[in-house]
Amino acid sequence: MIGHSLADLWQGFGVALEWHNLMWSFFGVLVGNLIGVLPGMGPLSAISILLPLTYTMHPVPAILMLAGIFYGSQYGGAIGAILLNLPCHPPHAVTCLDGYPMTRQGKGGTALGITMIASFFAASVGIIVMIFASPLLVSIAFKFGPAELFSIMLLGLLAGGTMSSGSALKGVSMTVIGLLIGVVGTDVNTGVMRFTFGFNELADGVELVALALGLFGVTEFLRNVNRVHAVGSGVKVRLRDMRPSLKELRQAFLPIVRGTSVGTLFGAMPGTGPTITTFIAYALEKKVSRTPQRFGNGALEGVAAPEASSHSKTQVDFIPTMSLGIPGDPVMALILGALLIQGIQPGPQLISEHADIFWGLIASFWIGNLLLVLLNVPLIQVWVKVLQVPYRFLFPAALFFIAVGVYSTNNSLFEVGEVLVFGLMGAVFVAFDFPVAPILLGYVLGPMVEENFRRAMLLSHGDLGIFVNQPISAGFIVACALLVALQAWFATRAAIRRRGGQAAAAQAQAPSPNDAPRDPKRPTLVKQR
Amino acid sequence: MRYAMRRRRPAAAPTTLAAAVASFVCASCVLRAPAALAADAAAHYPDHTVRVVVGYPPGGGADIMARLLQKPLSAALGQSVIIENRPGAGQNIADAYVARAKPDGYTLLLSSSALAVNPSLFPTLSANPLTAFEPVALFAESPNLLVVNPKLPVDSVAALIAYEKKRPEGGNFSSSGNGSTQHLCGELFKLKTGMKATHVPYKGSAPSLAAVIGGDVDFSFVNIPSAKPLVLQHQLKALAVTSTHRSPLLPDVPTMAQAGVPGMDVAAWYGVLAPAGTPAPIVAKLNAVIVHAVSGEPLKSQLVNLGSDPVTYTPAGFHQYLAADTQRWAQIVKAAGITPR
Repeated sequence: MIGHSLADLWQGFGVALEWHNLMWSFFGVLVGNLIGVLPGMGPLSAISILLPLTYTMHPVPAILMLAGIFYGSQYGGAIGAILLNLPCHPPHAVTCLDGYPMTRQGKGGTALGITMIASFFAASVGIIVMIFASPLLVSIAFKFGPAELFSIMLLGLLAGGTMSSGSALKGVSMTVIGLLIGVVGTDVNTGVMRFTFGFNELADGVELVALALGLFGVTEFLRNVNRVHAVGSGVKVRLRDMRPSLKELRQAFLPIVRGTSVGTLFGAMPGTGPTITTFIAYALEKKVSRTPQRFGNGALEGVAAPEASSHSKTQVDFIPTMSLGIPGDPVMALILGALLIQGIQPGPQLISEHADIFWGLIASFWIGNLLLVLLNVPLIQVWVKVLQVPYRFLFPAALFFIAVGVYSTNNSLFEVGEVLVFGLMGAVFVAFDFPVAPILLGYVLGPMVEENFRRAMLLSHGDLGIFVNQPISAGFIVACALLVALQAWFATRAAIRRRGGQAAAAQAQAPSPNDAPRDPKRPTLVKQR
Repeated sequence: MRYAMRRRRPAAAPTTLAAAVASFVCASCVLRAPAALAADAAAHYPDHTVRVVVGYPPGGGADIMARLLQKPLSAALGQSVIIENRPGAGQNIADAYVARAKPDGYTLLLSSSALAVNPSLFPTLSANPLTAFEPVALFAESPNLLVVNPKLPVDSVAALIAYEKKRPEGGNFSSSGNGSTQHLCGELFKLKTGMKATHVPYKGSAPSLAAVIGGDVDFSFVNIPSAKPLVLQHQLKALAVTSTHRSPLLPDVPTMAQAGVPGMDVAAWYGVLAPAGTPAPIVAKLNAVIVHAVSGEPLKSQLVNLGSDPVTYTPAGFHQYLAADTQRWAQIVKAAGITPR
């Protein structure tokens, strides 16, 4: 079986390395990368724009080009998130949390370098999993019904709710606001419209891209508009700053491995989006870290792990898409649509009937990711130069691209208005020191938790036992319970210590340990979060 | 500022000239009778790009139909045809947009059968399909396929009904969403057979299909091409198609009537409509172009590969079809007890 796969893969490399195919793959990676860098343009818009190009092409180069655009724009999205705090593709919102502070400290180039290494490593692992474990993963995929998905999402919500730094109460309240925003739209179970206020445009809910760009990009802009000199423009960029040092590589290695494993695990579960994957990878990294207070202030691990997880997740996601014809997310649906227009029906027989497409695609993943690395070694210098553009030109231009990009998601001006509303909202929240990232988490997870809970209830005819009767779901529920118990235990222990500490402090006049996580040297950065 | 003014001055002359020409053309237009103007517009139609609006994102069913139609349409009209995706609210946004567009034949709607279902589901929000549009051509009908999980001990529609009737709480079926044709097809099936089954809606047809394969639900009505490979791999069992004849993609699968449940000819359709008030000659021209494209290759076989029957209707025939379909969905929605939003 494995020998057979390897022989097929060898043939796949033959297909992918054909001059014609390689050219289209390179074109896809390059254009995807360039479009991905533009604020507001994620993989979805990049592929929709270039989809019509494929109708006149042969199926093999067409799909290779689309795949190239896909991971090219995904990597490009990280550039905007790290350098400008603009998460063009929502999974990168988590990368903003530490990537942007790194840029402000003049380490943007390092962050991009680590991202590049993380994505290449994660994609390679994802591809290997795809080649050798796809039959296994396909059978696992169907074990995840509504009850299992609910339990995973609940774990994600609990883990993510604790990831914000600063006041836990503020973090939880922002998560709840996110849940409320997530409720907007048509209820999947009953078809009732909730909080749409008569706007047809809200019937499908608030646009995720608009929410992410508003809360991060526009908020940042509104916060800085009167303090032009405060931003990273004018930071001297030197070539040696761009290469991660050996020490940084060592520091990032384990987070990359952990992020990749999280991504691979979630890749095996269709229905869990890449945004949740990155949030979980980040939360995990913060939990295992000995110095969690560095997160949010430019921790390298906070960039490496989520980026690795999103790349391995999307790579593994190709398994249900290609081998079952069931797309895991809108981007995959678009790639499937391209195949359908070519007259190719994705499904279990794709591997045998169109071996050139399937194995050529897998081989091109590797080649394309390699091209991406080669392309970005010189390009990182160009991207970082963007920061030297004076702020008064840079951000108005970025705002323009945000408007264009968000408009292109639905060809409607309504979403552009949404960006502005969320930008204003975010600016108010940040001014009062509320973290905005949990809003995104609540928004993404809330509807999934609700939808799967109610679906599981429909299937079990109202029996709550469905969540603990099935082993996979029960496992996640136990993990949730453990998480809550641990959290409570830590809190009690801290409270007891604080009481002891206060007694000591009354004698010694020492600062309360409550203030310890805040870094007194960088008050603005703490606020930034 | 001063620089900008200096730059603009040389451009002023041609602008004035263009304005003069334009006002002259307009003035000469006004002098002519409106009827003659309409006939004139129809005779020159199309002299610029035609936009086809789709109410779904790229890659969805209606979008694929639009992209397939784009090439022959543009070749026959001699103008470029662009597809504009305005997704949202179950096609309502695109419907409202085209209904409000200028009725000159340059903005068209590529609609799915949601147009006929929406008035029953969103009585306040949707455009009236019969008065807001000028039907142009209905060109494809896609029947659904009744599939079950292969572990279910049933081999026929009759066995499925008997099996579900024996279960005290009834079975369950998945659909791509509340009010989708897949959902309403299931409700119609329940009404026709008197069996009990809980509707479990999913977000889109892909997770709905996965729910049948995974055994979360018993049965589902799904579209044929996406289920066909899974049926051939025995991941799904196909019981019947909801059309009057067997599907060329799965010739071994009987129709619902052959399987013992008559009156279940339910197809999702795809058609082109123009805003109400579009001149009849333009509608007739578009209809002729689409009918010609559907009757010829490669569109015909492309549609068959997508599990659809290529069909041709006159504008009047499409209007009748739309009226009957709208009424039928209204009855099903009412009988199934689905509350309008």
